[in-house]
Amino acid sequence: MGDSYTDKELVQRVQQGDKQSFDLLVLKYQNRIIKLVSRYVREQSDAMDVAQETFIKAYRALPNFRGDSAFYTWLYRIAINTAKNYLVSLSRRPAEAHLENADGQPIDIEELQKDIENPENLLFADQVKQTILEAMNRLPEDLRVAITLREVEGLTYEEIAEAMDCPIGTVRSRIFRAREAIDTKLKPLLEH
Amino acid sequence: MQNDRETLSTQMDGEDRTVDGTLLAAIAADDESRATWARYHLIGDVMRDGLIGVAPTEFAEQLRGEIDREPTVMAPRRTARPLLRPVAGFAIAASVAALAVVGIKQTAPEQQLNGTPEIATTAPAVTESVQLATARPDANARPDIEVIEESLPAHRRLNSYLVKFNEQRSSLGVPGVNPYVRIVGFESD
Repeated sequence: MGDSYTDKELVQRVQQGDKQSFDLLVLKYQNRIIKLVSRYVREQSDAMDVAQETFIKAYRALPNFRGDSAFYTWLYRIAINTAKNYLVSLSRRPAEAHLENADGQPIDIEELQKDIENPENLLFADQVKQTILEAMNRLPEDLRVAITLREVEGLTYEEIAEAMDCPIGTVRSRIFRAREAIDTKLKPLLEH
Repeated sequence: MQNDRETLSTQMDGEDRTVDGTLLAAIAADDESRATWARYHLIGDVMRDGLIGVAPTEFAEQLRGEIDREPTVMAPRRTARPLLRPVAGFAIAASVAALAVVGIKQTAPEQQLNGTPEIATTAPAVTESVQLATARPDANARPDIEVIEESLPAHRRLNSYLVKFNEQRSSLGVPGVNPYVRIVGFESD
């Protein structure tokens, strides 16, 4: 995907001491990392902590990142290791093995983790998803095709221009207009 | 304003290589541009992965605070060039091949003098393989550097494929991930 070029630029800037550029990498990958970590760590607040730790570890290790693999591949591995370490540390906590509920019955930690998923957050995520998909379905066909080829198929602008038989400038404009149209619906939801 | 956002849209796709990193720095420094950047990426995440969780707005803010407290990282300047390693490898291989040729040439007369049938029968096969090995560079053989450079995109694609596969496992009906299962990766080194 062409956005690895942007990642490289951002990584280089961070490696030169620009902390703000790391923020763009966080904003870009936060949803994917949280989704990934949540598969290991079921409790929402713990998943957030592990995701946050992942980014902090990545920031500290960035001077050693040589760019042999894509930035996300590297970040992905840090996230997996951090989540696994968290699970190991969880199993080493002796106090939790003896947790009891109000009736004095022992609490099964694994069952507890399965039950604690935050319903409000799930509902919000579902609203976001529905809003985006509905807005996308209302797009004119040329905009919908352009953004789908970009975001889902991962084609470059040049490849999209070839597939849609139009100039690259038109592709650039269609993708932007598609994003703007979806964003018009999404922005109020996120600002609430 | 619209031009700025259109530029941001192009920039996040890595399609505008005429500008340097200063535009990205400008996006990072502006609250509104940062928020737009985050929402545009969220749109892509939902379209691509059918996202199940959305990062709360305070996630990035808290993280920004944590990173601010971290000492600034600076990558050390590399002294060795990336191409030096494959070149050094090629030089070592060539040296070994040259030593092998010299060694065989020196031992061959002794073998003939000894006249043992076992060595006499194996000698042509050895010299033939040495001739093939030494003939490669002369026959416009492609140097190792080119092979390594060409394979890098393939490595990246394979890495990307493995990552996407692992990400999509749960949506493909595989319930969760077993923590004890190793995640497969692919490294170019």
